[in-house]
Amino acid sequence: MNGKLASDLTVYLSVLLLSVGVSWAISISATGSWTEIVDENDLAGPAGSALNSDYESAADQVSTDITETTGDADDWAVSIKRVDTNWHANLHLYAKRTSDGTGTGSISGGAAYQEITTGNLSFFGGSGNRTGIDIQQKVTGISTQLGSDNYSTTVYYTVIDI
Amino acid sequence: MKRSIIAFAVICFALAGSAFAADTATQTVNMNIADISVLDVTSASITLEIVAPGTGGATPADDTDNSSYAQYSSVVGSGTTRNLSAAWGGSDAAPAGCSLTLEVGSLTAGCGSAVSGGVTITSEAQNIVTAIGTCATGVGATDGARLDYTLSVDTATSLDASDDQSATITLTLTDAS
Repeated sequence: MNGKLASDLTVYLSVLLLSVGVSWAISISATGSWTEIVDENDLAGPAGSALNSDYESAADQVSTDITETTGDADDWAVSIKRVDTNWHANLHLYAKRTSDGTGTGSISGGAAYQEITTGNLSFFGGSGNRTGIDIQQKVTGISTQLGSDNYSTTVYYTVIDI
Repeated sequence: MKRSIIAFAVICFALAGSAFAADTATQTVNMNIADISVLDVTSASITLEIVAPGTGGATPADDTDNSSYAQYSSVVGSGTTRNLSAAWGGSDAAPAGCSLTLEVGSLTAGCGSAVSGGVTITSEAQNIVTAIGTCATGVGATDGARLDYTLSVDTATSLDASDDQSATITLTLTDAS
């Protein structure tokens, strides 16, 4: 093989590599945000009572899709974290997977509540394209130690092809 | 040379399939805690009575009642406080020769500061607890702000044995100005 052929082959493979990088980019989407209004109806009892501590979203509050895999044998893992906008240290946010979604691959893990922290933590895993994976969330730590405010955080779902 | 290029390509191909295959989606969570101001009193009514003194020639004694409590749940924003005030209606009055005072005798910790010495009830709202932030007094029988009412004899010669007065005391939680 001469030098020109080797160079041409390198260019060809580079182009192929770039195209592979694009076409195999696994994708995740999340639909649905959660806003909970806490007011006097959430007092644990009559005047003088504290606020209820725990609040739970609908079971299908967030729907996630994992697509653009290479097929049912393409394994992936989803991790989760939060980035706070205005959060209180007393508040704890949890998430769990409440449905398997649909798809011909597999899915496992994440069925029990786990806390969402500011660091990425493994949530659930699976293989192949999977759509309509429902996620439920819960917040604990609401109390009359917190003043009135809008406490906000953003949850990041990251899928990694493994 | 050809084999090494192909091997390189295969390795890159594998790396491309793993190292660059990741994606992130986001979702927001909002916990919106509203201002809350809820107030109740444990006793709907109390009765105070000026009776004959035990000793002839003595001035009739004041009567007191400290059986009721104001209980409240308050949630305010940062830097905001509330006051608990008391007043009676414009047509309400104490019996002739008497006055009605109200003082908070005890208060759940963290639920404001009782006004020292209390107030003489009038139709104008007067604070009996100040600096109420975000708190809950509790709902037990002795939780909250204990309301110590005293019907005082100010002018014994003005007392009228037939003078019965019924008054409605209104307690209000308001944002401090």
